[in-house]
Amino acid sequence: MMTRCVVLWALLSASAQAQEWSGVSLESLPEIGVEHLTKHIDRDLWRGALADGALVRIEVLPSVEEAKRAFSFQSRALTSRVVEPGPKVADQAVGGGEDYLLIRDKNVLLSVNDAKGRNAAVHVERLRSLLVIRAAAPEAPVLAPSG
Amino acid sequence: MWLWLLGCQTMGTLVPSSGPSVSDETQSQTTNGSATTTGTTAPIVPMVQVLAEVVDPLRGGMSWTVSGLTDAEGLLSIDGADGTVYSQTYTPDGTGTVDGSWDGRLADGEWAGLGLFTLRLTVNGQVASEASASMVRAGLTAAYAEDDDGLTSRRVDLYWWEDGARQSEGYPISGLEQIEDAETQTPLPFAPVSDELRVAQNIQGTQRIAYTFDSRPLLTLEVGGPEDTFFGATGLDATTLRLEADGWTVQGDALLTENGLVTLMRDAPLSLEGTVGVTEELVTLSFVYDGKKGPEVVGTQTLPLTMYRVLGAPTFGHSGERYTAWAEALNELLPFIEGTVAEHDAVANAVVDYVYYETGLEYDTRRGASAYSDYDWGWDPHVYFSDFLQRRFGTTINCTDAGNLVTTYANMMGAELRHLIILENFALDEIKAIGIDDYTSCPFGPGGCGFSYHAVTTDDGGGTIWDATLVLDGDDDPGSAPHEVMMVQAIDGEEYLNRLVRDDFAYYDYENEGTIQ
Repeated sequence: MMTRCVVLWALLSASAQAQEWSGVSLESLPEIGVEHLTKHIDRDLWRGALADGALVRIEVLPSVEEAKRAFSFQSRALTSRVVEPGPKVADQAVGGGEDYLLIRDKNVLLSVNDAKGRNAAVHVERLRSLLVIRAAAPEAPVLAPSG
Repeated sequence: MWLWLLGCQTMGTLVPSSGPSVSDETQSQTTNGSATTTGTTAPIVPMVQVLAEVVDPLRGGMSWTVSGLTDAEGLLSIDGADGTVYSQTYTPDGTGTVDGSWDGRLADGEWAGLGLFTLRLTVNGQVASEASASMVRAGLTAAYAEDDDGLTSRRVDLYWWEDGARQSEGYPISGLEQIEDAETQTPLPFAPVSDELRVAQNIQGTQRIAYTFDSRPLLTLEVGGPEDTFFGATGLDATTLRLEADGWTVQGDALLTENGLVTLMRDAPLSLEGTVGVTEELVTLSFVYDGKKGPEVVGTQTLPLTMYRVLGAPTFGHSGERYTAWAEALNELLPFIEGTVAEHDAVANAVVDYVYYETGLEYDTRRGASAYSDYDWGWDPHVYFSDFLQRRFGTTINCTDAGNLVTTYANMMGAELRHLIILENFALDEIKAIGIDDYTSCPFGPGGCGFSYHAVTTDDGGGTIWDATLVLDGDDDPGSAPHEVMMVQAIDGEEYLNRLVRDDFAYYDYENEGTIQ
């Protein structure tokens, strides 16, 4: 499991598209009450729990296009109850926002399952506030002919 | 006086010397209990006899009996490699027989060492009798659990996720830094089975081990050497000791030699009845020599074993350390399914019982959302099993979680199951979801009477189904009360869909092995 002191974006693959998110600042997640953060062993995907029992899921895709495909699939696969359209709070959303909400914001999927409460949308907004813009990649050194 | 003679008759080596005599008439009375007389006499011979020819200074040391001292003092001395280490004068007290012992220490309290010692009884300035005994410090420093590639036993390595450590035959399951406790100066047994499951390769206690249920486990024991005892020697080179254990048979050479190895095989399979579960056994390892009166035990050392009996080697479709039997998982599962017949379907059925009844999970009746699982885009499931074992994400789950738990536990037991998806958006007959008290066809309330998908497990592409998410209504009308509890254990795949799905079309798809972490 990754240390929480590491900023997620530093671990992710680079992208040339400046409008994409690098991810969520892992340092900040405990500040909004996310505990037991666990990284998927093969993917840029984290799960965690909030103190009130709500579960959060954060998935960072390499591109917006891949995130769109992932959103389409996860809209079916994250719950076995058919989900209703979600509020227009991001690029895409499903779930009512009370006990469940899945959104796509650029290349990131965020979801909260608040099975015992009604604050899914609130928790998602807090997660969104922690998204970090991907920094521009430094220019590569230029090879110049010598002598 | 007849007591002295009894001693003479049962004792070994003696050096004849002049002295008092007793008539054979008395001897006959002693041995036969009759009054027969012979009219002859036999000499009474002062002698010393050790009670055990091989002894351990930390298990009582040396003991002997001096007899035949009727009218003269006797000097009992014990000589080792460096000269006399002990002496004692015996004065006749009328009985002629006296017992003695020596703890192996010199007069200054230091240990006299190990090896062969000669006990010499001197009477009237002449050596009347000699005997010998060996002092040894026998102990075992490591125990390895092994197999013979399934010929008679197959060991299944356990795995500790949190440590990323997997057992192997190259590491001992128990070990000792020293064969005795230096402070109390007492021999040490192997440590108890560790209460802490996460001992991994660190020997802090004896590790649990797993074998297939019909295995006859192999144990290889490493004998302590001079470096393993504060004596700085073992004395094993001066005697012939072998290892024995009730219920186990030595394979090959049983002799205890410094830093040598002795292998034992369990005489009986772990389960004569052919069941899975847990076998607890305290193996008593005895250090034995052939004395004049037969086999004698110098000392024992115990090895506690907790042996998980599994159906077979793990049946995950993937390889790698995490696709094996997790110690923590078997530790929780096996006591619950103890005695289950070691057959695939029976074990899979027992796993469904365990997940449904014993894990404290309940279905997410709001959303049917997974807590411990994810799918990749091809419905290939991934389970956060380590998080589940600690219930880090609570106890509210969905079918993907339950399916993953069933496949994970079953595959760790050697009962192969795979994840299978049922699609899609179908209405339900009456079901009783895990952790929910009542049957319903609307698990999500009045507006939620169906599944968008459902996850189950199978070993044959959907021909046979196991499912711990729910129980079906097993009567002739699965769509309404009354209900007859029908666990989903090896149910025909077609019957399963007929009982689960209400007037709708649903189909099996996406059979996958799944991944775990």
